[in-house]
Amino acid sequence: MDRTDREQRFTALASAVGEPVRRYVVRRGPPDLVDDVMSEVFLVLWRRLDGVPAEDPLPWSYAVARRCLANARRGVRRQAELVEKVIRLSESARTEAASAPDAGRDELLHEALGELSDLDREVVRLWAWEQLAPREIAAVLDLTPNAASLRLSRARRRLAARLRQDGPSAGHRPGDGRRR
Amino acid sequence: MTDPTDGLDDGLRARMRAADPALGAPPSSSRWINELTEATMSTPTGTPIPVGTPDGTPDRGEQPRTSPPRWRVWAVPAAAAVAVAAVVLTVWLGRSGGPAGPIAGAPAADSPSVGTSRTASASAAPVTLRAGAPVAARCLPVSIASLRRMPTAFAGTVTLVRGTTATLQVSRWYAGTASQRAADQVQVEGMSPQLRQLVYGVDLRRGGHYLVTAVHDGQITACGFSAEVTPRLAGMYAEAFGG
Repeated sequence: MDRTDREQRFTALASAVGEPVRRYVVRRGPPDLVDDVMSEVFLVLWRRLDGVPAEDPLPWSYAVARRCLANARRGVRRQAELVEKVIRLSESARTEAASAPDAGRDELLHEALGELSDLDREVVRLWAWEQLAPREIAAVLDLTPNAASLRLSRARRRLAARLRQDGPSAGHRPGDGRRR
Repeated sequence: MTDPTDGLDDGLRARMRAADPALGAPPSSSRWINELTEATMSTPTGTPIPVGTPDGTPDRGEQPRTSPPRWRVWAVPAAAAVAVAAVVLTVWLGRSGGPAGPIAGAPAADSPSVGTSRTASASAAPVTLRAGAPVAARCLPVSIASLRRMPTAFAGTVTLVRGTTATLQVSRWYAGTASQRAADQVQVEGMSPQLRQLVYGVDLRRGGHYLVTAVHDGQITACGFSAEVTPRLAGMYAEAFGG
């Protein structure tokens, strides 16, 4: 079957961004939403193909995924909240299994991330997990590059300071009132 | 993708990455992406997305899903054991263009094959489907296993609706006899207004893109098995029929 130019462009785009976007969704969404969200993301990319930046489509695609995920979460809010709890538990379990001696560190990290604002937390995640530069983070979150850079610096400082407070070896300090 | 202050944050980044929820997730297969890509491209850019997600413009945000996923739509009547309309499938098999009567019982001798894309050279007489009187039945959930048992399955676009007859241009045969797969067009006759109004029936509208299956006795499936194309349903068809 002959492919139209549009189909060829979309196929190339899907091949380039499909896996990283799926991982983006896996990192943030309940497992049972991943397929639905990916279907929606691909549909948006297909319908908005002419608007996808040719030179660097990934941040734009992450932005689409972010919104699709938000929609999916709203649509199944109650289930999502429940599943999120399960995910957090499973993340902890996975971490414990992978690095049992350092299990507390990841718990601390999770707590420290939880103390950031939603936007700052997402900025840090995009930096660490998706390995985006500030200008790319800005594209995902609809910020100016300068604002993204400032938020990233601030969030990293706060995160590092928070983690230093507890320290790698003080993960379960007795009597630490900050622990929940 | 580097940052001038990364040197100061290597430890933090490494720690974050160690806690990456996707760390243990297996990479998706290229087949999965290919199937999703194909399913997506089966959805025309100008057709409203039937699951309640409109345009989806990134710079203004996706709208919330306003209806449950399609499989839940017919899961509800399934639970309520409502009556569904069945459409009688009649196939015009003859290459001369004449009707060969309805498919009945087992598939024809030329056993179904799967995953066959339409080629421009195929030009056999149209397959004709005929809508019969509504019958009482229960809706079963659409599943890949159920789809896989369907002897006839195709994707097509409704090019003409005249009276109670709809004509579909077949874009892909997923399953069917060799005679069926030789046809470019499928006609569905007897689509009554009553049938069209049933949410779990099949409302073939001009310009719409549909995925259609039929069972051994020649009836087109309803209850979401045959429905307008969505990425989800197209993905299920692709997985069920290996296409």
